[in-house]
Amino acid sequence: MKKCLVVDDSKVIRMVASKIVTELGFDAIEAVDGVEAYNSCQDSMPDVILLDWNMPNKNGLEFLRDLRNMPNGGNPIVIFVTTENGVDHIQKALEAGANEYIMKPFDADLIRMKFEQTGIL
Amino acid sequence: MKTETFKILSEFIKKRSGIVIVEEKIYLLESRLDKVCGDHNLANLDELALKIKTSPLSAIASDVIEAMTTNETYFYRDSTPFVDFEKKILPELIELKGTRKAINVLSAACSSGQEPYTLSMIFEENKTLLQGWRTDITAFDLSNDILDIAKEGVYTQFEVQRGLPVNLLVKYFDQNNKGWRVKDEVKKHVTFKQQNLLEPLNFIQKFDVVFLRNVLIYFDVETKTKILSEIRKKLVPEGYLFLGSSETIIGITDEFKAVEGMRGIYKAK
Repeated sequence: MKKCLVVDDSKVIRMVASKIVTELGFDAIEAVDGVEAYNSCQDSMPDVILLDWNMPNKNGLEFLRDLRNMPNGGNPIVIFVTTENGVDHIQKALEAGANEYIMKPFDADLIRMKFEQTGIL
Repeated sequence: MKTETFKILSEFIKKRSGIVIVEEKIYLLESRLDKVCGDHNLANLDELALKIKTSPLSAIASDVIEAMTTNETYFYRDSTPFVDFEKKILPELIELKGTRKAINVLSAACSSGQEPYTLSMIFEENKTLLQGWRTDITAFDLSNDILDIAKEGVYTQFEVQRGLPVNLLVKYFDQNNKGWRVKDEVKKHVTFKQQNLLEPLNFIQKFDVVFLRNVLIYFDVETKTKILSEIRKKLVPEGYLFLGSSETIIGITDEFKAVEGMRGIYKAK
C-alpha cells in the first residue's frame, strides 16, 4: 500500500486529510511539524506528502528543502496544502521542489484531482 | 413540483435551447431555477412556470435559459483528451498541414472559457514547435452573460485549482484582488462569439478540430443528429471531433468514425 505523510499542526486538518487519503487507498501517517516530518521520512520515505506551510519548529518550506537533500528525498510527490495563496508563496514552493499546491479550503475531490495530476493515483 | 409546472418549464426549455429535461432530472430544474425565483421575487417554481407561460419573451424567461444552459467546467477537464490533443493530434496536424501554417479549433458551448483557455495554454506550451503558425480558437456559447465572464478571464481560487496544474497557474495567470486573470498571451488565441448550437453555425472558416464535450448529453437523439451534422459541415475533411468520454455517436450519425485508442475522439468521414 502506498504511504501518504500528512504534515499539519492542526489536529483537525490532519484528521480530515488522513481520512481522505485513506479512502483513496493510501496508508496515512501524520506529523505535527517539519521536524517530526523529517524524522518520519528518515524512518521510512513516503510516496506522497501533504504539507502545511505555517507550522512551529520547522515550517513546510524549510522541511521541503531539507527533504529534497535527503537520500531518496527527491522521490515523494509533495503537495502543499496551505492558506498561503499568494503567487510569491507558490513560486517559492515550486522552486523548493513542490509538485503541486492546494490553497485551503480543500475537499476530497481536490485531493483526488491533484493525486491524479501528479500520477500518484 | 406540480405536473403542470414540470410540463411548462421542460417544454419551454426544450423549445428555446433544445435541452431535454426528463422527469428523473427534476432536481436539475429545482437546483438551477431556485436562484431565478429568488432574483424575481417568486415564491416557487409553480409561480415561475406561470410567468413563463404568460410572458415567454420576458427577462425571466431569458434568465431561465441562462440558468439551464450554464454548465460546470474546469481547466483540463478529464485531462486525457487534452493530453491526446497535445501529444497526438497537434503533431499530426503540424505534419499534415506542411506549409499551410494555420490551425483552427472550435470550442462549442464553451461556458465560462476554461476549455478554450486550456487549448490556448497548450498552444503556448508548444510555441517553439508552432513558431510561424497561426493558432486560432473560436469559442461560442448561447449565454451572453457567461461569455462576458469568459472574455474577462478572471477565475476564483476554487476554479483555478480544479484541474489546472500549479506550474501553469503561475505561468499563465496574474493574481489580482478579484482572483486569477488569464494573461494576454493566452487570451490572444481565443475569440468568443454568441451562437446557439441549434442554429446553423455562423462561422466562415472551417475547423481542424471541434471540441463538443459534455454537451450532447442534454439533447434528444434527433437534436444530437442535427447538431453533429452541422458540426460536420464546419470540419475540414478528416477533421477531429472531441466529445465527452461518456458520449458516443453510435446510433446518432454515420458522418464520423471513432479514432482507435482515443476515447471520445472521432474523425470526420
